[in-house]
Amino acid sequence: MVKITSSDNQEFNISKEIANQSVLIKNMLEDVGEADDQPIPLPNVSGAILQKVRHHAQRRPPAAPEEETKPKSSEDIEERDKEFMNVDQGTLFEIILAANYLDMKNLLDLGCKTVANMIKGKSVEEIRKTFNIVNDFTPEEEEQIRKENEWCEDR
Amino acid sequence: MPDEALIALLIGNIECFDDSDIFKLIRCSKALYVMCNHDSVWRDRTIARFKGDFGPFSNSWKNTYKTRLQKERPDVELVLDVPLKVGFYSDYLFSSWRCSSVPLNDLCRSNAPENIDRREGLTMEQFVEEYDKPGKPVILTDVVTKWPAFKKWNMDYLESTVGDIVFRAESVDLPFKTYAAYAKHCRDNGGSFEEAPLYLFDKYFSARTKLADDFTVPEYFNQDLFQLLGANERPDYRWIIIGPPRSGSTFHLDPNSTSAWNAVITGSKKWLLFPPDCVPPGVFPSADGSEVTTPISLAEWFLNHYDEIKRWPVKPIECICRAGEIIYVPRGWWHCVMNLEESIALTQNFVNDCNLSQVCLNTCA
Repeated sequence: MVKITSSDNQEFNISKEIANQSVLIKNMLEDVGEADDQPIPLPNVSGAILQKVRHHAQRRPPAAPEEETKPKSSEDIEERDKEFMNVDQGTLFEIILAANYLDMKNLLDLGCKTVANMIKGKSVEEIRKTFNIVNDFTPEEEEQIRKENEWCEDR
Repeated sequence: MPDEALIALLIGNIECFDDSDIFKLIRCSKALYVMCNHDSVWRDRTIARFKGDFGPFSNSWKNTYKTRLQKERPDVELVLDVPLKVGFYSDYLFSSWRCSSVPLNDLCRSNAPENIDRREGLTMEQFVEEYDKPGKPVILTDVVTKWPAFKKWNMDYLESTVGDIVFRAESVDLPFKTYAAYAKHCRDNGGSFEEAPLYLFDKYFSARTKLADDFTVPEYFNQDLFQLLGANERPDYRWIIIGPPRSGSTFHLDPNSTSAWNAVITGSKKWLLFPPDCVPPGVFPSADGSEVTTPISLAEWFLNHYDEIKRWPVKPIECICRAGEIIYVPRGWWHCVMNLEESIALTQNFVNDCNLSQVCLNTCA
């Protein structure tokens, strides 16, 4: 078993198998060796997010190979993954940042594909609304960029 | 609202997004405009979507993508990008910008003293005793100047002779003339167009063209035991290499413990070579040495790690190999190469008596 602590000092016990899904933790364990019982600090991830991340790691079949060659498509998210990622935006972005920090490719892909799905089919204004993005262009800039890019969208 | 770090991360995994999504994101805000319009994104997108058929190269990868897209939509008017001046700061983009714009001679310390032998008129025995057996790099100055390639080859000549032939550039196979247009654009931009320009590195040129008629393997490197394996079994071994200024190769070892020669036909290349068993700073080989991770680009390596070398007990060999010169890289030497100008070169790996036992060990593993 491996002990990890979050930024807000919550402690988690996870199996070595689960821990190794994070390349960051895996490398730390290799460096530190078996003997050390000290918990591994993860100052960049809160307890709430770490819990979500652990939950995801537990649900993955242990021997799942990294599917590097499979083309990424935001359509191929499994139903249960969709449910897992059905969280508020803040949590979604924190999971993505955590997956990056912990070097968990599978979770990172899942997070990015989820964001991609939130964009699909929406207009520019709808995208801004969804993500609370402020339109900071001048009307002239906005018009120029619209002319340059709108025609390129899929019809 | 997604902050810069998050956007950078999403852009880093931009394969998850369709091209159409990105065209919309560009329009959402200045931050997204700058991040999603970054030309390196569009280089990847262009190659992913159009493969080698993306030509002709326009004045940026984004505009190249759009020009090519419009060919498929003749009813739509082509509107090219004119970059907006946007006040925006990003660590992620700054690093990339810095790597592409630091003047090359400063970046690579072109003025650094060279510490490699330059020889001419070397006999075979001298070469074997002084360089091959001890595994010591050397530059020979009187070999390449005798090749027809040295007199004939330049980008215009190559384009007129093999313009329609397909060559390999990193992950894409494309007609030489398409690559030539891209290279010209890099040249016209004074070598600051991209952090790591697309590098043409092709091993099929001797089968697909008659270019191999224009050079002869120097006798010093002529004993090549891999020939005995026959054309089908022998590993990849000869390449034509063409790259704009700032293109190059990060630190690596040549595979199968082979030795190599690298001949510069036009241009010039900065070389750093570390002796066997001396892994350069910032380089992480796998346990068996067969895979190397250098997580940073060559330019970044020069910015971040070059100065460390001063503190190392083992100093690398440092030199600039110029047009008409050929460098010998013995087996096991770590090396990186940066093109200081647009360069056309040839390289070949070989196995001879001196490195045979090492090669056998390697191949059996």
